[in-house]
Amino acid sequence: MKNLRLKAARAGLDLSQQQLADMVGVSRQTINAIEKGDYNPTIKLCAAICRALGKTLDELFWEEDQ
Amino acid sequence: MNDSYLLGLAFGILIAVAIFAVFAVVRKKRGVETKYDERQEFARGKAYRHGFLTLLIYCVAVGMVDLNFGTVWCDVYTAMMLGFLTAITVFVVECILTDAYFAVGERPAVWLVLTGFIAALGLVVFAKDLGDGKRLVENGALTHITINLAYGAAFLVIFAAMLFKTLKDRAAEK
Repeated sequence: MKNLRLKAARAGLDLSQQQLADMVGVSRQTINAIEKGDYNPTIKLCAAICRALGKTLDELFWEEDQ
Repeated sequence: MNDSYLLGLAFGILIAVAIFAVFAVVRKKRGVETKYDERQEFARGKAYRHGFLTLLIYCVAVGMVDLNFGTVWCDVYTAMMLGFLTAITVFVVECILTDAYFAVGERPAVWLVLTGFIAALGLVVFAKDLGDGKRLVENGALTHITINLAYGAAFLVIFAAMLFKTLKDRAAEK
């Protein structure tokens, strides 16, 4: 399932995938894979992304219907 | 396989080790470290498994051919190198296609050129061997010059995979 909230939060800060990737220390393709729903990140990476975007885990990664 | 071939092989290995050492020293001096992120490590593990399985299947197939048909299709060294190259190619190509071959922040352009050069070198050496009158098949079996052809072909496949992925990524970034 696509993570549109992550994409929206990143775009909201006017960050490219590469910039966010550099901030959290992963490759651009990994951010792309998370946004496309092709890869489920570990809690450690989720937390790093949340810190970089100033969001909580719930706001970016919690699925209400699960 | 004569002494000059073995000497050439040893020299080739030495050159490869020297190039690797120079790359390692330069990277260390520049403070570049090879770091894969968690997705890449997972993808590399999966690719490694597929490469290892390829090698197992190849070994079993070669053993079965030898056991059941008694056919000598090439010498042991050539057969070993062909299996090794096939497994490595499977691993590398899968890593490239899953964006797990280059470490975080690593630029593929240098490797693209280097891979293309090695592919061309393998094929040129093979063509030179043929030009020198060496034969690819003797008494129904592949000779050791097959290894140069296999090197060239393997690196050509890797080069094509890198080129395909680089162009695909550029198109996606636009």
